[in-house]
Amino acid sequence: MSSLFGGGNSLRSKLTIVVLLTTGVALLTMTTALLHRDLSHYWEALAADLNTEAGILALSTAPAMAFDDRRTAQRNLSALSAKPAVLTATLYGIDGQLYASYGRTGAQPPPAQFAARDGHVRLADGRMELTRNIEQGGEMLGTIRLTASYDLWEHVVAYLQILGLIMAFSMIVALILSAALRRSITAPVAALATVAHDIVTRRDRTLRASDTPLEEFSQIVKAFNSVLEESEASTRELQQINHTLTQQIEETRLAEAARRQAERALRQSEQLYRAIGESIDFGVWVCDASGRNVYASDSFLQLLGVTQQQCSNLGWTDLLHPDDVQATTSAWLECVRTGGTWYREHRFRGADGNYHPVLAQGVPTRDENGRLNGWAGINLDISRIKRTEDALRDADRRKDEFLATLAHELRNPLAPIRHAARLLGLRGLDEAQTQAARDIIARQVARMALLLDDLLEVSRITRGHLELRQEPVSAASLLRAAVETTRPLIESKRHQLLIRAPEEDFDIVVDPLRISQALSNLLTNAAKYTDPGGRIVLLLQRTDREVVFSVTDSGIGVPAAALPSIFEMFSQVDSAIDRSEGGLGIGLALVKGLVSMHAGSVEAASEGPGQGSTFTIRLPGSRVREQSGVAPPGQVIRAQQGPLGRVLIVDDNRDAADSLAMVLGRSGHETFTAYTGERALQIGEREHPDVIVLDIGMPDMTGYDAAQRIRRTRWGRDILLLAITGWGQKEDIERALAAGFDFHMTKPADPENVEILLTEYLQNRLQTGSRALEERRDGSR
Amino acid sequence: MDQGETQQIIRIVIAEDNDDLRALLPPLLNDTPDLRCLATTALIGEVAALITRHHADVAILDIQLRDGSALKQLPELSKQFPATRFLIHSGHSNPDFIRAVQAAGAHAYLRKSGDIDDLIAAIRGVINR
Repeated sequence: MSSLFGGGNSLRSKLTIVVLLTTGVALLTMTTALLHRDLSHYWEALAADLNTEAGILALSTAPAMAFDDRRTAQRNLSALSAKPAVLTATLYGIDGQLYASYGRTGAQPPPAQFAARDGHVRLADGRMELTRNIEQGGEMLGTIRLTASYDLWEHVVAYLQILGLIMAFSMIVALILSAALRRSITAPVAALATVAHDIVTRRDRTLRASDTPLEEFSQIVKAFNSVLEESEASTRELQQINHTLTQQIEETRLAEAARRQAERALRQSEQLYRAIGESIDFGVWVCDASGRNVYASDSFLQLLGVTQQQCSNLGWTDLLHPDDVQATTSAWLECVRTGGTWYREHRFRGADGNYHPVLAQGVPTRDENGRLNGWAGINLDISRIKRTEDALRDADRRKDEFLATLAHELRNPLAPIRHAARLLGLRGLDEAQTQAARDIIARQVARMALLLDDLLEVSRITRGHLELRQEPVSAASLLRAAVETTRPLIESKRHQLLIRAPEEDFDIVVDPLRISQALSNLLTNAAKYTDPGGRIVLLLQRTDREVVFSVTDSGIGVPAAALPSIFEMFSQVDSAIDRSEGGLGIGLALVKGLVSMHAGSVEAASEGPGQGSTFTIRLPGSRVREQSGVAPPGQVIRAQQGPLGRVLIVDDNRDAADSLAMVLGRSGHETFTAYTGERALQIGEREHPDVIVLDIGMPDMTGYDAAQRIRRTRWGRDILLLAITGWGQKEDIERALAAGFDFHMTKPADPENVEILLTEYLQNRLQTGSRALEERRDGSR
Repeated sequence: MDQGETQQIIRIVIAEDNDDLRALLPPLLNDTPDLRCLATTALIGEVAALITRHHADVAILDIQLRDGSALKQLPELSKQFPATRFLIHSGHSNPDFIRAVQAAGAHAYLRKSGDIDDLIAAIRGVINR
């Protein structure tokens, strides 16, 4: 139904309901009126019909009743069977007693006695009952009573059926009419509603309602479309305004973003310049066009312990060093007058009470028209530069002093040499004088050579060109080598030398040459700066953490002020210079350099002038290696009693070979000499020497080739091979070691060094040999 | 050459702390006929006694001696021995130092690195002055 009527609230359904209701009410009213009329008519017609029948019967039966002919009366009654509507017919005597009766099958029997009223009609139990008196000649004979079926409901139903049909038909017609109406009336409305709905849902302002033939609706559609037109125009206008507003907002937003970006850039720039300013020790400063200070960094104000107000204007000049006030103030006023750049060093009195050297630099700042705005500049802390300058000046002064000392020291031996040479030229010299002159020359030359060696060593250390050849060596042998080098000096000054060392010797990994050199330097110093007959103690101690060598003397001592710089290059204590012992002031620098290269330290201690001094070398305990054998006590100073060996000396310079052989021979060693490489191999094969001292530059073969060939022999595999070269360049040494040499020495070979190496080698071989022998014995048991 | 002048013997004492020079200078000087080195010492404290003992015409002094500086003693020695010429024989060459030597009353200053002939000339120079 809803589809038929449309939606409950739609115009279409309401229209349909109106049509149907109107039709229904009209039909119902009409039917009720007709029914009422028809029922009245039916009742009257039936009553009249019964009355007529009753009249006829009364006439026809009156004679029979008058004659009491019941049969006839009965017959008359039975004639009513032709009248189907009559249900019963009963005749009552005047006494009211039943006289005759007729009844259709199934009809209710009449009452036996009946008191009737003439012409009375009544309805009861779906029957109409009519009573009529029977008269004849004015005489009352009886009463007749007729009943007929009075079926009102059947009548009504028939009516209602007709009504229903009529209503159904009417409704159909009404619906058809309604549909037609709907098409012509509701369709335009529905179309309008659809357009409105679409506009709302699709937001399409361009939609328009279609025109309709119905005049009223046409007006509505036009009005609607007109409203839409206006609405669209308003919308367009609004959109235009909106667009304009959006553009303006966007422009404002962009302008704001640009402004923020600019602000950010400005802030960053400020931060950058502030950071730059603060990174400068004493920050930045700004002065106005008339030269008055208007800003100084906090770092500068803090340095001086003043406020910006105190610094402003020319307040800062009050804090200058009194010696700088006049010059700086004048220079600044001149700078302001000329609008020039500012560059000046001066000193400011700091809050700490000290004067601080400051370099102020500044440039004039100008606006776009070139008009002077003021000055901006920085204050640099140049304390370090000043200190460096002082240090450089000091170093320069020390260098000059050193050069003077060097010249002095190099020249000093020249006079004795020159005079001795001159003396040797004189006639009539006795043997003692001649020998004395020779000794003087030899001693002074040795002194010069020592000086030059020290110089070269220090130079090598300073330039990092000195390379250590580290190996495990016995600590005792280091002491021995140092003592042997300085023994002549110590003995010449009649010093007492005491050596204290642990009972058990131990190995230590060092460059033996360099450590014994450092020790001998300390011993030489002790001997030099101690009056004759003094006492020198050389001490060797070993702890878990370190190995300590110390040299203590009873000499002139060191002033406390000189202790901190005593190991610096060119440093020499004045009182030491006065002693005319000379020296370049590089001996201790050399000691420090050599010990530092071994990761060790060196220190000096003295109670003061005249109180003697102690110099201590400390080497890390990690350098210690336990010796496999236990050295006998007292071995430390047993240098001259070492084992004796067989030495082959090979040099094409016969003098060099012979003199070295002679010196070694005097010490008790068995010596052989060869002047060519081939000859050396032959002698080696025959004599099986312990050591071969081999010159590198020989005519028939190089020392390198000779060494390689010696190492390939059975007898030469493990012997001690010493190379002698002219220059001692790093490449020479490396090449010598690669060729199989154990050690390298520069020409001329020092017999003492050869002997030290030989002794060490022989001792080591003895120990390993005896150990090997013991092992063999153990094995054979 | 004036033989008379060359015949005069110049008597010399030397104070020198360098053992080698102390050993070398006397025979070299004595090899010259008119020079006679009569004594040497390494101590400034002995100089006055040697001059007195040997009637020295010339005293050759090193500056640094074992017992002190010759410069400190020089004014006193000059006053004590006005007839004696004092010749400072030193390794130093600093001009300030040389000026100080002259101020102290030395008659000549000679650097040690020179030849023995320079020393001889200097000795004769101070005598003839």
